[in-house]
Amino acid sequence: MSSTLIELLPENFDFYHLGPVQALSEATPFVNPDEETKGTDLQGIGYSLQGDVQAAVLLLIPAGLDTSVYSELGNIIASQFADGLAKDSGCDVLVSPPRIMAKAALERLIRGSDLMAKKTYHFLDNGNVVQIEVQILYAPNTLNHD
Amino acid sequence: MAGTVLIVDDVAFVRQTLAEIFTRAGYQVLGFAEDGQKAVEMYFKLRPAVVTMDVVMPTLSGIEATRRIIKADKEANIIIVSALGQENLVMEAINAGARDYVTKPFKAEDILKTANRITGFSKEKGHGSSSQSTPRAAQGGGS
Repeated sequence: MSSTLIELLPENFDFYHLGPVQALSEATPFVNPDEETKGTDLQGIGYSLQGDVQAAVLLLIPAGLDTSVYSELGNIIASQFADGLAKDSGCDVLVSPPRIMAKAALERLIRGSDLMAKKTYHFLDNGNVVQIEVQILYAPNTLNHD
Repeated sequence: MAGTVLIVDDVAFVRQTLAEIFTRAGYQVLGFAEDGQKAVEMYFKLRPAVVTMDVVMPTLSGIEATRRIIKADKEANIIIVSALGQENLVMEAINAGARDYVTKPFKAEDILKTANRITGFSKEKGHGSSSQSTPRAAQGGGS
């Protein structure tokens, strides 16, 4: 199941005039949630998937970045994932508007959810390489429990 | 008024990107809306030649906003701009009255080609093919 979900996440794509977003590696099916935010200053942007699927897409980025830009970047990834799920299942799958999450809420979400798949991307932001981690989580209702 | 656009998207980066694209192409950006409800209000306040409408937004979806605008103004030109590309969604948007559907991330030339085709607007001519269009020199400053 995890490898199938990984395949639904997009590979490289051009992000408007800002340049390419490049997928780095195959997703890791399971990661210890305690390691995700320990010692790092991260922020998360979450998208609930709505329809016949019960999942959420979480974008993890370094804190301090322009959340508007990354909200749209995450929207594209989440939507392409949703399109893939819809094609596989034959059902409509919609994506919620982005939800910006502070570190505490992020940690609660990660600990309270089952990680189904993860993929890492690189994006060149004003000359700096930004690592973006995209996680597919089961139990999407946790996005509402801040 | 020909060559005018209302930009609807809940993400500021997208609104800014579209504004820059349209402004460089000679359009006048009349306003912005961050959700479907505001989109409906702004449309009837500003009466743009074309609207770019996101689908997934708070309060009211872009497709429902499209439906409400078209119900009151069948001549409205609405282009759906969305990262979702599922066939059912595209059909729902067209059935709601949208003139076209552009998927994100879009290229500037694609969104402009669509808007120009729908409105007949040309930067060189400064007006569209609408019977209400006016020469560039006679156009007001907009709101």
